[in-house]
Amino acid sequence: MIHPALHPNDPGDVVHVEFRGWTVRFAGRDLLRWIDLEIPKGRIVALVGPAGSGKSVLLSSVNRLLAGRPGVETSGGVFLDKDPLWGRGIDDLSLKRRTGTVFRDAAVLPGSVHRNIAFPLLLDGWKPGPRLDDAVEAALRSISAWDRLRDHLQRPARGLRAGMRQLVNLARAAVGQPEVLLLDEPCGDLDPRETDIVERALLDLSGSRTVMLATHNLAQASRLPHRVAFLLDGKLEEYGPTDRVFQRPMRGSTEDYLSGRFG
Amino acid sequence: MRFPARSALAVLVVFLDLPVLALLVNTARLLVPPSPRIVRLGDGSRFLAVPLSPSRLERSRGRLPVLLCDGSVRDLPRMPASMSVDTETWLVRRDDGPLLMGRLSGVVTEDGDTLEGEAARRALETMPARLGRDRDRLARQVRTARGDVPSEPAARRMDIFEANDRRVVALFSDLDGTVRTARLSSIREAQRAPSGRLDGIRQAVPNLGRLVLQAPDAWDGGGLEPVVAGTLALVLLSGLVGGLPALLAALQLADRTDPGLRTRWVRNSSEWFAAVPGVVWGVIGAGVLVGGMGVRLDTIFASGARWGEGGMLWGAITLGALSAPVTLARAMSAIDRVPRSWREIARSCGATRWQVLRRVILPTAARGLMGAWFSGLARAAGETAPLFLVGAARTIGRSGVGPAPALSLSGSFLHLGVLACDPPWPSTDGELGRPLAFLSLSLLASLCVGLEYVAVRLLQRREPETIR
Repeated sequence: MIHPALHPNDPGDVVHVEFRGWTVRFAGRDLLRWIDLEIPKGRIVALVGPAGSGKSVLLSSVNRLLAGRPGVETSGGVFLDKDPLWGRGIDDLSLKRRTGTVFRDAAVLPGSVHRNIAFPLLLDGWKPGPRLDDAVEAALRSISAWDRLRDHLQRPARGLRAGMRQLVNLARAAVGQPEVLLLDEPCGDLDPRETDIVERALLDLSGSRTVMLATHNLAQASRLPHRVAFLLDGKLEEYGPTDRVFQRPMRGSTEDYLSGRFG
Repeated sequence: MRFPARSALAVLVVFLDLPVLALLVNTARLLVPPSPRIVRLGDGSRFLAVPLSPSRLERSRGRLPVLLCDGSVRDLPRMPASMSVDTETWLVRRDDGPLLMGRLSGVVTEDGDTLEGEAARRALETMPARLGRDRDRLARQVRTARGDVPSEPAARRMDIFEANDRRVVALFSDLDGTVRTARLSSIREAQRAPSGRLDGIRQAVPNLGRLVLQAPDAWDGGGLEPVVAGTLALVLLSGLVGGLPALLAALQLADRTDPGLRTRWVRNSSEWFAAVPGVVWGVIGAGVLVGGMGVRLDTIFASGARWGEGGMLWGAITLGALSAPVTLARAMSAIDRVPRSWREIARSCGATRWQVLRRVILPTAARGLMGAWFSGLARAAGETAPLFLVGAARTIGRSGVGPAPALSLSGSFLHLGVLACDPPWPSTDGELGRPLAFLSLSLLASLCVGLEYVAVRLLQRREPETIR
């Protein structure tokens, strides 16, 4: 268990996503081991760590994609605004719609840009029409990508460059006004220029939303977030404000990873 | 010089297909109507005859069976002095008599006039169809009128028509001057020897239509219509009882996120079971379906020997069972081609299992699923062996032993492959048997190739344009 001093709260922060003793086992291995973590509302929190350290598992514990995998055992709890995400009698769908997810591979659904962005609303039974168009425009404006993509709305989304596709995915994740955005290395496949575009979009968006950002890109982890959580082998090693974690890490493993000695 | 090993192999493989092409070409040749000839024997006698294609055995003995003007068949004892094609001689198929042959010497009209030459030829080509239509219309009038009161005028008109009709005949003469008459309204078809290759092809096309689309008891010649219908019905039914459940099973298995042990086992085993030969399924079908369930159904419903003797339903279930693994395996691989990331995106957006299926998997995999269904149909259409055991009929129309069985679930069924393996037609009958045997094989081959072609085209990877 991690010492409470390792993740102190800033004054005025309201806990939004909370992990309490969260443990995930799969095929006899601990993917996550006793995670205690509080994500404050309206902040960007970066999850860093080498591959296999459990960043993606942590994200899929919040959007409950983990629940669809057979053979996964969990214990402990994850809470979204004090609502338990795991346990008996959970309304899977209503919880899923409180989160928006962007994956690493800039894959988009077949169909036009408009369809892609509107997809979550279409699932909810919205009909094509001005109301849907307005929602799509609002989502694009919220990531400042309206001017970039307004002329491409009816074109197939797969024809776009990877950076633009991730913008589309970001807009899709944002269109349903979710409380939490879960980004699983959204810039993992992008070049620096495209990364810059996506990061700007992310900053525009984050004012009102909580963002959990898994990343391998340490420069990105030092630029964007308010806080950084360092995971290693399924354990939370260190958690704190970005500047503090990068400049005065408390653990040797954190320092080794952040300074590039391994990972 | 380097031996072109690879192209040699390719040529060899292509040559393996040549017998099929030869079958199609020979079928086409047999569809060209036989040519009447003027036969001149060594003793100076001349007569009209149609050579019937002799079997190899008869040819080696020097016998040549020919059809004479009166419809009888005669063996020419040795090769005649000359056999020249006579394009003036007509071959006439009619409803009320055997095949008729002769030179057209005239057509007697309703007024008693006798048309000759070009006018007679035109009358022979156009009048039979018109007279047939007239008679059909009158018969309808008589029938509808009889519904309430016997209609004098309609019946009288019919009588007058019949009386006239008997007088309207075509006159055909043999070389020795014998004249035979044929009622024009009874003539189904009048053909002359093709004057050239192009003319032969032109005449073969209606022949093909007649042989494929006409029922065998429409006239002596007969066609394959009930056989084609039986085959298509059987194959479609097998697609319903075998292919559709396989598709649903594939969708249900695709629903699982990670391929678990069960999915992997079903996937692998379905590919292995697709290799079980048809005759094994036939024996299983005969034992379990016909001898087991059929007999039990008959006992329960006291329906005599209705289900216990094999029939369309048992045949379709047998074919469905042997084609379902093919459909299942191909359907699962079609579903696998739906990118995993699309499913993840959809599920992260809060799509239910049903929504993922309907909005992502189905639209993307629809083509492939259709292709899987069609390849199951192709497999089912290509199997003949099991059908012998589960109730295929071996007779067809008048040329066989009984009437063609009607399409029904419990009744025996006609199948192109079965009849081609075990033809009820006299195989040396160049007039009917050989064209029909060749044609049924060609049709079966074309059906299988066509279905497989459609399947392959559908299974080819093509990115979907959009989803709903």
